[in-house]
Amino acid sequence: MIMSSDFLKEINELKESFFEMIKYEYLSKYITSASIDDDQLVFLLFMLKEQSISPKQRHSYILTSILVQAALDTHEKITTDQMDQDDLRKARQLTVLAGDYYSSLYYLILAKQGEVSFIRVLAKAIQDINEAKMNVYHKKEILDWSELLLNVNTIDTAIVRNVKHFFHVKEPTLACDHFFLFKRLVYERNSYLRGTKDSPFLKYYTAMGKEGNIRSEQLIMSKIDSHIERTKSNLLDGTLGAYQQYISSRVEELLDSSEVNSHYLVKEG
Amino acid sequence: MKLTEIYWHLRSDIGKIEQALEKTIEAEHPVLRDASTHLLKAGGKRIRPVFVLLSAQFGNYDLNRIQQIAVPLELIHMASLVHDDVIDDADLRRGKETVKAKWDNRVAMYSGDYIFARAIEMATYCEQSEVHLILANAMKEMSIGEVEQIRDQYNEEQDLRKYLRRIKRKTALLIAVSCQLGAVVAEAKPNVQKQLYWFGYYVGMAYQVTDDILDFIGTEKELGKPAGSDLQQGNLTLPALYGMRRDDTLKQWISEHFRHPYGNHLPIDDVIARVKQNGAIADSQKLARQYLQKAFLALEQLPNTRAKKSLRQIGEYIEKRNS
Repeated sequence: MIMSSDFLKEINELKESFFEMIKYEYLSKYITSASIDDDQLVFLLFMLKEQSISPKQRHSYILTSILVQAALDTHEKITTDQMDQDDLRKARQLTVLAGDYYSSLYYLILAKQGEVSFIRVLAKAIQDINEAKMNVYHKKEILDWSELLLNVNTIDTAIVRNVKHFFHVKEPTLACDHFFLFKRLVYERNSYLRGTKDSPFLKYYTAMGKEGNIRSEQLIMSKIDSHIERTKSNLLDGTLGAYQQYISSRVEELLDSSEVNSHYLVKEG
Repeated sequence: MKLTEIYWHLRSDIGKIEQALEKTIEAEHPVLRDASTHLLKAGGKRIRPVFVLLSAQFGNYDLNRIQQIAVPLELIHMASLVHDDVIDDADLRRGKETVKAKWDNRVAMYSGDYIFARAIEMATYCEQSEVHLILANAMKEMSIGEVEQIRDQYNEEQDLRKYLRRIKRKTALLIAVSCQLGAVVAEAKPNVQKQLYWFGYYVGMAYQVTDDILDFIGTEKELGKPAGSDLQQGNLTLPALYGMRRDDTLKQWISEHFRHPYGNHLPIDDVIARVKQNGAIADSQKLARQYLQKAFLALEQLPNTRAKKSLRQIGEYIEKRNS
């Protein structure tokens, strides 16, 4: 995955198209703008650059994929809290509608180009993600650790995964799955250290009836740490072919910008 | 005549649509499955699938193909209701607990997104690209209409044009495209498709105007919510708009309520009485009738069939309905 100037130019064009598409003056008064996961964008572009499709098709496929992600991320901001202030209530209402609006845009862009099969790919990805979200958020039985990781990984990768399957992309040793799992674990760990309460991992041990129990917190942290280590080893083992360079540098960046390294230093020191 | 009696001859096909609706949203996750089917089981008029079926009878009627669009249209309507209940923070719909009340906002968001996605996926099995263009455009317009409704909430500076544009997006468009798509999928003649679109559009406008009238004149039992709820929630609908034009006291009450929605008590019983007395209800009913007349005019261009008769009867039902 070489980030040539052409590659970077295309990334920027996609970002411009995305922000142009979602521009809606009234919405921006009340809600924060949707954002793009740069890694998702890079993975999608890298995969689709290898396909025999026109640049226009590639642009539409990637643009609509990141619109779907934006729609889902926007709806993820809806909380269960009671809203008593008028502005907060309005922000929530518009957050629901913004997500629906972005969702209609992906369908419309692809419909205009007659890309019916790709509409189905993204619709299927949305279903996979919402099933996985429900597994994480609303499960009667406690999810075991591997199920939790599997579902969280589906939430993070279902779009890339479905696009990948559609084009029969051959990818070395699940590079995408491992990378996004690593990224999620680092994120969850940082969130936890910052005291974020709304984490599926936190819910995992809360559900085990051990809330506030320091030993169970240490247990979950050591589980996350060992998984970060394991995933990191998978990602840096030099077998990811064309993906290796990008992934290696991103792994280092994620570790550098997080509290994970400092934690290790403390432990090792 | 009851609505179900009008399309009694379609009952077998509607039954199949009902089964397909349930099957389409069979999620793997039990709560997602329950939440998705929750609204479906609460019933509903299924007016959109009925319009698709009746319109398809003007072309090559093949239920297997037609349900590929009838089911998604009803699901899109349902998913938007699930999200609407989060927007309105509503606990009851059709007299039953909403998804957001029975579970919570998050479950409602996930269920709504899931149903939208299932609807779109099912629609993709219909390979006429025109179908997707029509449906996707309607979905975009619907969400813009909803955003505009929020923007116009508690805004007394509204005119008839703005109101009509809003109800077009909110209600009429999905009914219009239900009629149009039934004809498109059945490959009816282009002029038939066009007339059916306009029939659906005008019927949809009449339907929403009637809904807005009922909000003032219906009983709590009929409406499933207190009369005057729209105005209480800051939504200026046609009877209120007409009423404000001719009654300064009413205008003053509504203005005051809109300026201080949470601190001011709107004398809703007096508001309703004045809207009835000053002719605003009668004028709103007149506009609904005018839309229906236009709908019937569009029908006149179509061949005389049983489907045409049923479409006309549905229009007449809408005029007379009280819930």
